[in-house]
Amino acid sequence: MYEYELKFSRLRAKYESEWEGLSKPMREARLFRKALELYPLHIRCGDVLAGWYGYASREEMEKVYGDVPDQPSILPEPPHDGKTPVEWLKKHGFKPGSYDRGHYELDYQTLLARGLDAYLADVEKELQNSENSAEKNEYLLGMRAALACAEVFSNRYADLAEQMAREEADETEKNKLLRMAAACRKLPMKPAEDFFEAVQSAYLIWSLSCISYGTWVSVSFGSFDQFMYPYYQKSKEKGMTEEEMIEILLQLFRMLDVYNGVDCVISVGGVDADGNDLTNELSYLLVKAEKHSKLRSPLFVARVNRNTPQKLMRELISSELFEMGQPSFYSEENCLAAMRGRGIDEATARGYGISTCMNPVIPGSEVTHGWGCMVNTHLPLELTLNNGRPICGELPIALKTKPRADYQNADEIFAQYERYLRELFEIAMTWQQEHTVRHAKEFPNPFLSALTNDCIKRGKDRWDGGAVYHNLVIEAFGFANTADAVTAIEKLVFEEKKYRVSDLIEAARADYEGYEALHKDLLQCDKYGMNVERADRNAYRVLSIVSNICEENRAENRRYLPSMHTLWTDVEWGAKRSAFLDGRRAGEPVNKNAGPSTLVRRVGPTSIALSACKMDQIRFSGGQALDVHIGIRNMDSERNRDKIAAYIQTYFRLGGLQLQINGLTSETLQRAYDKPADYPNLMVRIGGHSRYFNDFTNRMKQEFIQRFRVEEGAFLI
Amino acid sequence: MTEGVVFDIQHFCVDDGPGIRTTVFLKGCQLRCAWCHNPEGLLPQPQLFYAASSCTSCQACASVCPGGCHQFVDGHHTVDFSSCTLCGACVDACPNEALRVSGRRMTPQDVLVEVLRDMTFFETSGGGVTLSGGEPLLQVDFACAIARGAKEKGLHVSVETSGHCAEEALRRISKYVDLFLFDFKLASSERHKQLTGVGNEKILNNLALLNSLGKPVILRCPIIPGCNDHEEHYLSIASLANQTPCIREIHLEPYHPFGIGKYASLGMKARYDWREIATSQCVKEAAEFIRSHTNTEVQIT
Repeated sequence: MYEYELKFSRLRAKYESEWEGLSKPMREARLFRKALELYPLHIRCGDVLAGWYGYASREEMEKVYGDVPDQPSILPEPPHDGKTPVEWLKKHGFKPGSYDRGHYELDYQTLLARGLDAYLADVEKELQNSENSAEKNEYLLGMRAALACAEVFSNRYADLAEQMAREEADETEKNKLLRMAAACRKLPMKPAEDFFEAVQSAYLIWSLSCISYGTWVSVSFGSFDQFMYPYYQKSKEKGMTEEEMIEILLQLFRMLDVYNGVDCVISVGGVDADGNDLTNELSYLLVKAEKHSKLRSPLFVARVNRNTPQKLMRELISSELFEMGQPSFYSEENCLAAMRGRGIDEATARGYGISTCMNPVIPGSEVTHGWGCMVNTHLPLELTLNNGRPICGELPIALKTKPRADYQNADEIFAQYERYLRELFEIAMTWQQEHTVRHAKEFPNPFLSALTNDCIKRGKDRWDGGAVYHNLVIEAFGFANTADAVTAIEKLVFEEKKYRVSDLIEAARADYEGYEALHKDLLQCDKYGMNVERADRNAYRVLSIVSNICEENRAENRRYLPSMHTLWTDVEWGAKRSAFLDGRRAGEPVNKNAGPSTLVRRVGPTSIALSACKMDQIRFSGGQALDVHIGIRNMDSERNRDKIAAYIQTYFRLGGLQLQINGLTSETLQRAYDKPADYPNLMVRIGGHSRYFNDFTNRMKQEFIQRFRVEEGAFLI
Repeated sequence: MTEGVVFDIQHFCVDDGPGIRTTVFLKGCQLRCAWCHNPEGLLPQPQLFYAASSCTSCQACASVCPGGCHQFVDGHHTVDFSSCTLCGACVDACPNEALRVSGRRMTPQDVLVEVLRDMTFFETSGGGVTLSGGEPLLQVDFACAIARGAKEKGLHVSVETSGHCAEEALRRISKYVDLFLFDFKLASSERHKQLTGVGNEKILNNLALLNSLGKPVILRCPIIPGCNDHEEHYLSIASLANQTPCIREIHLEPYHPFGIGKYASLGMKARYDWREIATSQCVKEAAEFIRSHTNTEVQIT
């Protein structure tokens, strides 16, 4: 997937001598132009949309780069020597993200209606402003150059399509190529006028934005059934058939699947300003195309509100989609509440879209660092309980928070916990901010910035203060394990006085070898996800501390958005962590997304949902994914599907933001584990994404099977 | 207060009545169906349950068992279930959760607390509690107390029964029950006796009783390959439904053998090693056939 990124660096290395003396924004615009001029393009037999690029033969690619060898990634990070505070944090899995070139969603409604020429005109107009600083004008000139070269790319498709049309004997194919050529002469610079043009234009803009950063990871379309609807209506009136539209959509999905893989959101549904449901004919058409496609991409999202038609729910809750790991369900009401909670005005908040990773965004106005900081929620608890030191490993830096001991209750633990977390967070975020600015200044993206509000007006890069909203998603890793540890301490240390805190630390340090009885006691304590008051309250407190710290650090346009998102990295992240005080042994996974720890036994879809709803989810606008497993034998039964719909609606009514349901059984997964070759297309969903089961490591597969078994069993006794 | 023995409480069940349900499995059953895949439900008393796949042969159980039930020969763990007194020492000692006691004594109150945790889901989906087993009506006082308590909380109450129980038990519980899920396995009493250990006269009489009480019934029909997967049986299902107005729906349950391993875990022997799965094609055909002989709704679970 990242092959292209490296090639981008090769292109830079080959041509940078030509750009000496240019400003950085202008240099990046020239690089963009080179990519658009040189990248191999293709139109395949039977294509209706233009859009294949790259994936050329080795020889063809070598011609582009000449004799320039592979280049290392741009702006390398400092070495992880663990000596500076931030490097020590990173070693402990407390990782501020360095720079994010994905996780954005453009404002396609406006882009399709205006065309890129209108943005070019905006830049021209802003250049006339006599109060501009030299730096601003420099940036605006870069934007102008970058926007202007978009048509280099689309004209190349037009040339290719025309040439192929001349050679095409079949009349139908020829007409398709001519339609494609005409559209590419005009788009994306001019406004789109019908469904075909709108999809072609949106896809070209999407591709251009991906090329501008050299990556297509986590770039979403969002509310596709809404912004495309006027064009759909127009084409329908003109007589375009459903089959023709599905053909167009299917090619779009195929291209997204190749370039984007798993993380381009297309959503259906929503509500308007008066609370009316927005499901339309195109929503149903998208569902139909999705069922037909059998692909991972797009990431199909349903925006569910209390008036979502039963018909749509029944279409979405289907074995065809569930087997593909689709769709993800979002609560319209709670996502809106989450947006309001960011301090966004009502009208703007209502224009939100769903993006990856699993968060609501304001399309075209945000920069989002999807992995702004992976917060190790264990580490502050270790410092709290172990006299200011981690349980394992050194503390090579001096922390300001004064260690204490002799805690009498959970309140005292959490008070100290908050102090440590605040201090660690500030270390991480200071570094994060410096690194981001350094990167934005060194490698600006004038093309994408021109399409992001209000970069033109401010004459700044989107990551350098240009964007209206500058968001960093803060992932609370292992929050359930942290909460469970405190629950265990409350029971075993404070109430039963069976152990001292130091006993637990000693046992964890020994990875519980030789402490089997203590370990079993820990396992038998209540845990988050069982719908038990105290365990859930402690989870709430850990998460509240994370949100408090995020919210108090807001500054200017910069927001820290708390999140429970781990995607599937809970296994990989956990593999590097030492044993923890909840009984988790070294290397075991931590809790996945908003779900419970892997140590929990007595859980099922209802208890997990009820526990998760006790969290203040609307504060977690950085994304909160809950994976539940429902093993239903007969999904064809309409009644059973309505029960799942009731489950989803209940979860949302109780405050849930987002949910996806795995409909597979552990038996199927076990068979797929044993004979992977027999299950090449088996998909599971996790953290809002669908992935091929065979793409996971054996260890992650085992974790999946174990989790499914526990939730299927849900045994009490 | 009446105590009962429960071997499982499952949340989010969809096949045991309307809406989202919590199903309570009461232990003990007088039938010995050859195909039974839930052997935990057979004996009325708690039993030791040993999951061999989780055992690491650490021998912690052997070191604490006062009766010497756990033997290790060449690292291979054997359990002498007959000498087990259910003291629970091995369950506490086992670090791998390979040992547990299946079946716990609970009060109706304990059960209700667990059931009512999902109240919100019952309200939004029109669901409730289902008493299942085993045969729940063998513990009639206990079952009645749970059903009454659930009814007082406004829950929809279902009882899943083999029908092989005292008439009085059925009569007593029926006033708290909204829906009976009533098994129908074989039409011939002789064959019924052969394959389940009891004839079906009592069962059919009890069905007639529910009919006279006007209680809604869903007829639950397991489709078992090589046993009752033939048209003669399907015809008898249809005609029973036609003669019994209280039967609102017929549910066909495709047999699967996934519970067979549990016999060994309980130190029991399966009557037959029944491995064949009822294919979805076969059950679909059965449903079609039955539909052509009755107006009663037929569903596949």
